[in-house]
Amino acid sequence: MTMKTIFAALLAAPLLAAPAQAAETQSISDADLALYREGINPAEVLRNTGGDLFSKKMGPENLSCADCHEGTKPKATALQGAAAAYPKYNKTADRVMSLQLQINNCVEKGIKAEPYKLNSPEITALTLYVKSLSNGAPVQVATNGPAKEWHEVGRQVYEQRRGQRNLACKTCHDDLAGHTLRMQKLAAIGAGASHWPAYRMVNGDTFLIEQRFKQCMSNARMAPLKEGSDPMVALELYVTSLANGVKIETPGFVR
Amino acid sequence: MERNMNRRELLIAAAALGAVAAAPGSLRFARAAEADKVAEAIAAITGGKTAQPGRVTLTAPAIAENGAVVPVSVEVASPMTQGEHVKSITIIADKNPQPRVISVNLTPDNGAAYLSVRMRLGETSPVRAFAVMSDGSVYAAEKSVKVTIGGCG
Amino acid sequence: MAETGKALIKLPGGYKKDDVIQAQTICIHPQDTGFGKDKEGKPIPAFHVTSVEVWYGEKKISDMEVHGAISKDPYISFKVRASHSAPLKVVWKDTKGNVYEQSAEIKV
Repeated sequence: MTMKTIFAALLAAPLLAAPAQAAETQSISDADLALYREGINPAEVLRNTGGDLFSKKMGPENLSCADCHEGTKPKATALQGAAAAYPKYNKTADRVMSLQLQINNCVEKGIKAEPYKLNSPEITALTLYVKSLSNGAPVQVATNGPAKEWHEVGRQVYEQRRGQRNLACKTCHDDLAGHTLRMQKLAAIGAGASHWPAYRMVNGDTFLIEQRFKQCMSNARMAPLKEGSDPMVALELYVTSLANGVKIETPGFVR
Repeated sequence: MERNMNRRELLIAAAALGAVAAAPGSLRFARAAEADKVAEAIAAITGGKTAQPGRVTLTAPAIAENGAVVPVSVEVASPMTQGEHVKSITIIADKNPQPRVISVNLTPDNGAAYLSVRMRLGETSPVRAFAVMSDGSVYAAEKSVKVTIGGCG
Repeated sequence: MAETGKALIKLPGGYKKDDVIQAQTICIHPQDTGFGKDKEGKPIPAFHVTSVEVWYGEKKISDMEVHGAISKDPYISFKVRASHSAPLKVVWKDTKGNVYEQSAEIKV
C-alpha cells in the first residue's frame, strides 16, 4: 500500500463498516496473541541488570541507590510502590519529572555521579527495575495541583496534528481505534502505560515509554520530540494518567 | 525480505522496458530453487522416508503479530520410554533463506517430546515440524503462518 | 553493558518426583543471521547461537542445533522428567565459539 492509499484510507475511515469485524479476520486473534505471552520476556534479564546497577557503588562517597533506598539506615526510603506516582511533580526542581529524569536527578545530586544518557541501556535497565518494584500497584499519577499545567500540555501534544501526514496521536489511538491498518489493530492507548518499560519484538530491545513515543512519532512522520524535553514529559504524564487505577505490570512484551 | 524487494523492482523495471518475457522466467527459476532447498531440507530429516500425518501437534499463530518473533510449539504423542520415544524434533520454514530453524535430539529423560521456541519468518510461509521416532518412522505436521510488514512500523 | 550471553532458566513450582516439568530458557543474543545488511548496505556477519546442550546432573539429556531463524534473545522451552535432585544446566554456544551457561536446581 502506498502512502497515498493509507492516507486515503484514514480519511475514509468514518465510512468504513464494523471495525471490530474487520479486525477479527485481518489481524492476529486474541487466542494467538496469548501464545506470545507464554514464555520468558527477555526484558526480565535487563531488569536483573537494573537490580545490579541499583546496588552499584558510585561517586565520590561510594554510594549506591540501594544504600538510601533499600538499606537499614534510619532515613532509607523503600521504593516499592513509588514509581506508581510517576511522572510526578518535584517541588525542589519545580517541575514534573519522569521516573528516568528523577533517577538521573538522584544520581547527580544524591550520589554525585555522572547521570546516565536518556537513551542508554543503563537508564532503561534502572528505570525498569525501579518501576518493577511497583508491579501490582495501581498507576496513580496526579493530574491537578502543580501537575495540572503539565497534564494539559500533555493532552495538547497528544491531540496536536503535525508532520507530513497531519496526524495526531489521537488520530490512530482514539479516532481510529479498532480499525485495522496493514494487518495491525489500531489500539486505544487505554491503560497501555501500565506495562512500560516494555520489550518490543520488532526491535528485539527494551524501551522506555518516551522512546516508544519517539518511534511512533517517526512512523507517523512527525518530528520526534526530544527525550526528557518538557513536551515529552508532559505527554508521558498525560498518557500515564490514562492508566490511572490499572495495575502496573512490567516489563511489557509488545510488538 | 531483501530478495522480495529485488524481485519486485526487477518486475517493475522489466515491465517498464516492455521486456516482460524476461521476468516470469527468472521468477520461475527462483521458485524452483526454493522448492529444491525445502525438498533438500526435508530429505535430510526424513532420510527419504515419507513423513506420516498424525502424532505431531504444531501450534503457531495463523497470522503472526510480527515476523521477527513467531511463537511455535511442537508436541509429539509418545510414551518416551527407552523402547519407544521421539528421537528428534525439527522445525523448518519453507520460505526462509535457510529453511532449517531448529532441531532437538531428545532422550527418555525428557519425559515428553515437546519444544517451544520463538522464531523468525521472513514472509508468509508454511512452517513444518518433523518428528523422527526411535523405530525410524517419521511424522510431520505443517501450518501456514501469515506474515506482513504490519501496521505503521 | 554487554548483555549478550546473560541467561535465565525458569522452572515451575510444586512438582513431585517423576513429574514431567517444563523448563523455559532464554539467552540474550543478537541472533544476526548473516543475511542482514546495515544502514550502508554492508552485510552484517552471522552471529547467532548454534547449539544448546541440556545437562541433568552428569548426564546430557538433550542437545539442539540452532539456526539464525530463532528470534533475537533466543527463547527455547523443553520438558524434563524430574527423576532426581540435581542441577539442570543449559549450555549455549554461538558462531564465535562463545560458551554461555546457566543452571537451575531440580529438587525432589
